Amino acid sequence: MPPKEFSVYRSFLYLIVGIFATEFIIMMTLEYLVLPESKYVHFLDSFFLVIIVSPLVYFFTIKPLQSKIAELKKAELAIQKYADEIKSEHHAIVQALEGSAIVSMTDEKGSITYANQKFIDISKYTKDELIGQNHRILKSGHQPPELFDDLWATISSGKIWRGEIKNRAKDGSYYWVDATIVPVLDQGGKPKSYVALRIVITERKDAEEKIREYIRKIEREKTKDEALLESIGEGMIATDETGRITTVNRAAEQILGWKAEELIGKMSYEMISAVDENGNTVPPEKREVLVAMATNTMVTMEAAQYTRKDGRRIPLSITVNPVIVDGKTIGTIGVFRDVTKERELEQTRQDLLSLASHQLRTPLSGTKWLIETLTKGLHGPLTKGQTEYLNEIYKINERMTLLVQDMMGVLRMESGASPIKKGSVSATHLIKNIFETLSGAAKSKQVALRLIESEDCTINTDPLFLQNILENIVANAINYSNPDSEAVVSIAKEPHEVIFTVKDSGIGIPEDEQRQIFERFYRASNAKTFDTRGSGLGLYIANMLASKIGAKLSFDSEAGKGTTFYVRIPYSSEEGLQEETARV
Amino acid sequence: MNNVLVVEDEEFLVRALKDNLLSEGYSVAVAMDGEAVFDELAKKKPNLILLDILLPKKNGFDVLKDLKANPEWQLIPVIVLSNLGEDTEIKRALELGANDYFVKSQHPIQEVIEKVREYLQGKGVTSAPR
Repeated sequence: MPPKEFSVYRSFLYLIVGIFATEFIIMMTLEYLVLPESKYVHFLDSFFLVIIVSPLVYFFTIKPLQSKIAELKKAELAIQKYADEIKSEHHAIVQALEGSAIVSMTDEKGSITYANQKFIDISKYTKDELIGQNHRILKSGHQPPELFDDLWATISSGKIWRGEIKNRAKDGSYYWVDATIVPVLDQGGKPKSYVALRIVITERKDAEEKIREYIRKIEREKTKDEALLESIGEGMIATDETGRITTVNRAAEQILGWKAEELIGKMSYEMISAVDENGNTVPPEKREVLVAMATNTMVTMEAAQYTRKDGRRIPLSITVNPVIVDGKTIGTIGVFRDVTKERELEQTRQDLLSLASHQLRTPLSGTKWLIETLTKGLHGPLTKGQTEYLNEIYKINERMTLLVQDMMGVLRMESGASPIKKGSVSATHLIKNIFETLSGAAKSKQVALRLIESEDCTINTDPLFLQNILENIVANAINYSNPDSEAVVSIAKEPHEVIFTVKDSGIGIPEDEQRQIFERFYRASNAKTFDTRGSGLGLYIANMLASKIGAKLSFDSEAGKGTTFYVRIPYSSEEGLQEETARV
Repeated sequence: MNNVLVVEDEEFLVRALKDNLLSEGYSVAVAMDGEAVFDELAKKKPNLILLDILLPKKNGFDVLKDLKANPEWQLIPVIVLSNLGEDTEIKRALELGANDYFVKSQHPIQEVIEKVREYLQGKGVTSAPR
């Protein structure tokens, strides 16, 4: 009701003035109106004074006071409520802090005045041991004194300090804290106490150190690996999952003539061209890296020539492995070496073998023909005894010739470095060739050669090797058959392989000797008596050749009945491809 | 009478070939190195040449090349008799124009003689492995 701010003094003033004024008016009125000498004047005076002043007092004093008191009470309630809210917020904050942070307070000299439970728990000191102490008792000694000098300088000048401190607990163990120290300033701006919040970060610090250590370890390993890579004699080129070159070692640079920077980021076929043995450029999709990634297997290539930076072509033997991590191909690693010298050496060796072969054969052919000339009677008739002797000498010579042939075959094959030449060959064409080559021998032994008509098929392999194997087996069929018999060849097309079958009705292989028939120089007992000439190397060579092109030899045989030989070969013998892949 | 030129550097092989060819009724000329071949060719044109490969002075391949390059001699049938048995060598000889190839140690001399007869009768068919 009172629009003005209630003032006790004003009200009191109004009251005094009002009372006097009222009294004056009453007295005047009473004097004027009523008998002044009446004995009721004082009573009337007091009566009217009270009647008029009472409401005045009420309206000007009591009521405002009342509403003021009500206001104050309201305010008090509000304040109380606010105080309660603050209290509970404060409580929550303290709870939060208690659980997560060390909270402490110190006086202006740095002596601890308050330590929360966490402080006690972590430092392992009791409350009594902490209160009154300086934080110095927690110094680990592992940090430079400058840190603490800076700390004190900062906070004593009234500024907040933030930093990481390593502390020592009562039991000697260490813990790290991320500390925020806030000075509480007095009215002059000087710190009168300090409040500190410390978050324990020991685990984080340990993890950081572990990571640093791990990084150092990795760096060391990396340096070691790089040194290793640089020192190996073979060229190494690694690519990413798109086939782009990522790493080139020093040997690779030397072999190819390119610097690593010139190759990194490019596809191998962009910078280094390759031609196959026919001189045709190998297309990108047939190049080593892309084939390895497309087939997800190890790839070996030996037959191509690669162009160096200076234009010179060199033969390289390359092996590329895809690198697979968690089932995904993330790149390839290729290792290669310059095989020029190897090839030259191999060529020299082959030339030598060829020459040696020739030199051994020449005298043997001489003896052969001279004996034949004599036996023909071109230098006069011979006695029966002379003819017999000459025939024996002839046979011995033949044996020698065969042995030389087979031994040369073994030597050539065992050189190991002879690359397999791939080509397509028709199966029937192969057999027909073999029949022609052996027609003379077949005729003289009176063994008929027959090929069972069947659908032709093409095999992707070294034609010479396959021919050699089959020729060996067919020759055996002829050699160990009786006159007027047949050697029958058939070709079967299976889903994944071709099976050549060579069947004769000759002397067969005794069961107890079957296991040894592929051994070097082994001749079955019945074979030795039937034909004295054989060297025992035929099947050994055939078997070795077969393993080189992925073919398998087997047979069924019964002594006195005949032998059936099987040659199984996949449609395509991929040289160097293997099941395993490089797994990381 | 048919004349056969034998080109061979080994004495005993020359002897064997000569004896057999003469018994067939052919006349035989002999050259024992790669250059003597052409001396003999100049003397008398043979009906057939038996040619070894490893020869002194000039090897059989080069002799073959020269023979086939000369219109006068290119039609004379040539049978190569050599103890080099590599397929590459056989192939090379045939590609250079030889009509046939025998690895001496692998064939009785009678086979050679029969093949000579075939060629001289104009019925020669290559039996060399392809």
